[in-house]
Amino acid sequence: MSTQTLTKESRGPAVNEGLRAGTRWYVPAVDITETDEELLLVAELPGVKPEDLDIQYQGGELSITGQVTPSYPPNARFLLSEYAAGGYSRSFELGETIDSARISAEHKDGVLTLRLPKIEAVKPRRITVKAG
Amino acid sequence: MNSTRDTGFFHLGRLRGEMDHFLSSFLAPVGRDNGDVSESYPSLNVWEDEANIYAEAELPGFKLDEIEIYVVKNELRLKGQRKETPGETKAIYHRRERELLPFARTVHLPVDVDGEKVKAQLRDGLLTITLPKAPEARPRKVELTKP
Repeated sequence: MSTQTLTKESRGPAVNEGLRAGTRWYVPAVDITETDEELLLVAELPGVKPEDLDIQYQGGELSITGQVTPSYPPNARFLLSEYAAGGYSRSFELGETIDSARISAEHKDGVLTLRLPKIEAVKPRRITVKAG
Repeated sequence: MNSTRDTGFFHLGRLRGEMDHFLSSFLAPVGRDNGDVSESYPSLNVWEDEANIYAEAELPGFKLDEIEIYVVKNELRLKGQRKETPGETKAIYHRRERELLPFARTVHLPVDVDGEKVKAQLRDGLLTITLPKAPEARPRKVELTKP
């Protein structure tokens, strides 16, 4: 089968000047699958509106950053608090095997689906053997 | 001056801790996870004002018809199951972190709520439920009369 393209991963806030200081950052849960043709990344970003999502791919590194605006009032009396409002940030080093011009993204119901097609050179090829 | 303030904060912090402990006994999840149904999913935030209790759950990827909400007295029960489950695929998994099990989570609220008037909306993977407190659970202002 195809070779593993994901080599390493860095966590934590991405560098982005537009983000306000003091934001809490969370690592979104992801599923990443790979076929001969592409990498498929599905990330859970609940509460992130499509316009508050920033995806960058540069030099083989993919970074995803999403901002969440808290839905509760600043002085809310909490009875149970299992997650805090903040941002999501995570980046992956994918190497130089992705055809960046053909990356496509869809964000729906708090789930980001990113399709990362491989460049032709790294796709496996079937060599047809002719009978001699 | 400073010591007075410090003492004040200390008491406030301790009171807060006791309140959290007290409330967590109401809101603790009932039951534990087993292999087929998650009883600790989804993550919940619950807060209140005088009139309502608000519950918000992170349910990324869920559709409206995949979620059921039940309210009885002070019990809030959330159930859900994704229709699309990942089938067998020839793809290689590099990361597999998403929770895709069906869930059934129950929390006990500190007061009864008016089940008829509960409202819920799902947006960007966040479910927000507004639970009006039962009339007898709301604070009442007592009018003072002149003697």
